[in-house]
Parts: sequence; structure tokens; C-alpha cells
Amino acid sequence: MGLTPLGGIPMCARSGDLDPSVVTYIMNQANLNTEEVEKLLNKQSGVFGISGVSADFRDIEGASAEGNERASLALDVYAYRVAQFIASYAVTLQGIDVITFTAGVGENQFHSRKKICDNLKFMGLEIDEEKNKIRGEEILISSPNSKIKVYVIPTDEEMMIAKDTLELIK
Amino acid sequence: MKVLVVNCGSSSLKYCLIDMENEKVLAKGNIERIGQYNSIITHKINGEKYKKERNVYSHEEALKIVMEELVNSDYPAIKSFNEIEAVGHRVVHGGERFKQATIIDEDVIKGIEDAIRYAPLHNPAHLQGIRAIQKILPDVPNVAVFDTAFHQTIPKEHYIYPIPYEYYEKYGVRKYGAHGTSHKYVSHRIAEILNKDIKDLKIISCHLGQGASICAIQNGISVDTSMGLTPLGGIPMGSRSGDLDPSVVTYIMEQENLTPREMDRILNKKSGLHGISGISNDNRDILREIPNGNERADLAMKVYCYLIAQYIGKYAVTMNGVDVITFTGGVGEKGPDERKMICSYLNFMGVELDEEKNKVTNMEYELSKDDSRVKLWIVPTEEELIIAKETNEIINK
Repeated sequence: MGLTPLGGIPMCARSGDLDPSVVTYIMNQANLNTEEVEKLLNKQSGVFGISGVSADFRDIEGASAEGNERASLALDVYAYRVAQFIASYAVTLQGIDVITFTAGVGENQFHSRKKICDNLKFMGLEIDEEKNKIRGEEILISSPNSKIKVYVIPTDEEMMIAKDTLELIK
Repeated sequence: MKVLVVNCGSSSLKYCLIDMENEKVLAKGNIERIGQYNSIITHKINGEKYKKERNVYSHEEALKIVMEELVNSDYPAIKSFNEIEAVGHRVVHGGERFKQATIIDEDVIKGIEDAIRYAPLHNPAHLQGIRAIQKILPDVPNVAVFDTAFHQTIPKEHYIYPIPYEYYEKYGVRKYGAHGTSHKYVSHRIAEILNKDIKDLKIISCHLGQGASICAIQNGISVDTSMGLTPLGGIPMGSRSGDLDPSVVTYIMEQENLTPREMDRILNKKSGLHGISGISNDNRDILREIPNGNERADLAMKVYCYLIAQYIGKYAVTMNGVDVITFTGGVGEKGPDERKMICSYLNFMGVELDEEKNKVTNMEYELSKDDSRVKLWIVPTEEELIIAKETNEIINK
């Protein structure tokens, strides 16, 4: 994420990073002001924008399973761009030891996890397909041979905030 | 067989006359400040450079001057116009319609007009050049060679943006890419050099010049590239930003009260290396300032090389690996400092630059160590020659 939470990878309804000329081009073509285009990029883009189905991954995966091509396209674009971002951080860190998945999609949408990891095979990442099907618990989902360990670690933002708060007032 | 290559910008024109028998450049030059006073005409022939100043009001007038220089000057390159057998025009944007170079007829002109919305400065200038040549050389075939054509093989999941799909359908918003002519040439050339079938190679081609783009080439075709809807997208360039969190665009517009056109100008002309360093859009000027302790110059080069290295990592994902990385364009061919900094990020992928070999500039040369898993090469590009070759091929089909 960048200046605001709009940047980076595509999200449920947010675009992530773009060629900035896309922003000015749409403003000119559709005659939108900055507030309107911001709303469009925050609320009507991402996998929702491509699929036209919903901002909820469960709905999009369901539609894709029923043969909805734009739903499948949205999931492909999502996994591709997330995997590319992981590789760009492998450049940053000069390699990766462990990849973690968390939050709604990261903890529960095992199809998307698999798709992302499949894009990273060349880095020596191997996923255990059975373990990957487990939802919402702390678990190692890479296979024993995988050069990179892959974990699902459910996040708990409220607990972190409570702990930080307590520490500061002590 | 002699081919004239014409590259019309909004207020400039570059030309090059090539003898296809031996691929020799007979004469070349450019005209700057077209449509303004004191236009500058530079003509090069036999290692000599001739400079003139006069008012040139249109691309048609400019091309008439080119013809005079080529034929009737004190230093003629050819005896008569009849020796020019074809004219190849560089066209920046071909939209989704043009998947290869094409002989120009009225329908093709219509297609180039339709793509004006994606390249509002370039395509109208190209059309003026085409119309002018049609008047001056009515019997000579014109060929359009598109910067976007090579990238028309990119699969949909790589060219569609995560924005409402209707904008793709209604306004054609998608990735088109650019520098296609150069990426195509370099990828075929490196396969030749390595004596391999291009279909067996995973190539990342880095065209680093004033404009810069990276292309992933697998099975001999472009499967992804960094420039986007327009040549503004992708990696940072001399004065262009490359990809951004789009909220940067709207935030600056609101803070500075800018129109989309003004914002476009800032992102195209005042960003990239120039924007960060505040020095210049030329890498050499910026590198010169680093030993003097200029922190923003140092920062600009670090951002530039980091973001390029990240893009190379991205395209390793696209192709599930990479066999060879090529460098071309002004910076790619003549920028050992940049190449070194970019490659320093990529050791983990099996990229090992030989620092001694890396001192070489401006020629076809292998830069990687013998045991580097990924090969590194300089492959100089010659866009005019490639355009002439494509033109030649098409009219002889």
C-alpha cells in the first residue's frame, strides 16, 4: 500500500497500483472529477471491477466455478499480481525464507492461495494441497521439500491494539 | 532497395535513409521545433554534419526539406526520389487492431486515427507525416510499424487492469505497452547470439533510454511488458513516473488544483529521475552529482535501479524463471553503474554480473560470469534499421 490504502496489489474493490495515465484518461473520457475517480478506484475496482460479480471472494470463486469468464479473469489477475509483488519483495530481501497469509482472503480462500503459490514454483515454493485446504487456523501449508515455508497465521488486530495500549499506559 | 524511415513527433521529425542491400545508413537527420520559428535542421551524411536554421511550419514542409537534403543538396545521398522504394513510419500506438506492421491504405489511416485517444500527441503527428509522404512520393508504398504491435500477444490476465471492466469495453483501457519494435529485435537477436531457438528461451528485455520499458518474452512472443495504457506506466524513466498508487494522482491534483492535462504533464515531464533528483532527466548528469555528495541524486539512482530490479523479479514470475536478461537503449547500453546496481539485487535469482566485463559499453557483449545461471547481455538496438527491415519484409511479401 502507498500514500493511501489504494496502492499495491488489487483488492476486493480497490485497484492497487496503476499506470497513472489510466487515472487521467478515465477522468477525461468519462468526465469525472478527482473525488469521483477516487471513489471508482476505491469502491468499484479490484476483483469486483473485473468480475462485475461482487467484492466478496466467495461469490467470485462460486461464479468462476460455474463458468463465469470474467470471474475467472478477476481471480487470475489477482493471483498474478499478488505473486508478482511477492517476487518484487524477494528482490528487496534478496530471497525469502517464509511467506505468511492472513486476513479474510489469506486465511480462508485456499483456491486463491494455491493460485498465488503456483505462480512462485520457480522460486522453489511447493504447496501441500491437502494442508492448504484447511481454513482459518495457524498452519504450515508448504510441503516438506519447499525451499520457502508458507504459513497461514490468522491475524488479530484488536488484540495487538489492546496489547499496545496496555503497554503504553503501564 | 532503399527505405526511408520517418519518425514524426509532435514538433519534431527524425529520418533515416537505409540501403537494404547492405543495411547501410546513407543519410540521417532530424528537424526540431516544427511549427515554431527558427526550426533546426540537422542532416548527417558520410560522417559530416550539416546544420541549418529556418522556419518550418508543418510536417509536410519538413519532409520536403528532407527530400531536398537527400537529393538536391551539395551532398546528395541519392540521385532521384525514384530510388526510394518504400517509406517506413514509426507509429507509437496501434490500439488493439494492429498486431504487426502494415501497408498503409485509407483503412489503416482510419485505424491510426482511432488510436489517437491513447496517444494524443504522437498519432496525429504520425498521420501528418504519412499524408505528407503520400503527396510528395505518390507512387511509393508507406508502411506503418507500430510500437504496440509486438505486445498484442500478451494474455488477457496480464493486460487487463483491476478497474471496472466496462472501461475496457467502452474506452479501451488496458495495457498496450511500447518499444515493441526494439523488444522484438533484441529478443530475436539474443536467440541468434546464443544459438538457440527463441521458443526455448525465457528472456527479460530491458530497454532503458529516456523512455524505458521491460518486456517478458517466452516462446518467442511478448507475454508481459511494463508500459501500460500509455508510455507513462511501468518503471521510472528520465522524466516519467512509471506506475504509482493512483491516489498519488488525485491527491496531488487536489492539493495543487490541477487539471488532468496538467497532471499528465507533471507525470510525463517532471517526474522520474528528474523529479527525484531535481537535476536533469539524463542519468549521466545525475551520476556526476553523486560523488559531490548530492543526496537526491543518489536517492534518484537508488529508486530507479530498485524499481527496475523489482520488475525483473516480477517477470521471472510471469515466465516461471528467466534464462537471459538483455540491456539495450542509451542507459542499458552505456550505463555500467546502473547495470551493476540493478544486478546487485538479483543475486538470489542466480544473476552474477562480471564487473570487469560490465565496463564494456555500446556493443553486443556478454556481461555475466561464466557460471551465472542467468545470462546477461548488452544487445544494442537500432530502431530505424528494424523499422526499415520490417518495411522491406512487408512490401516484398
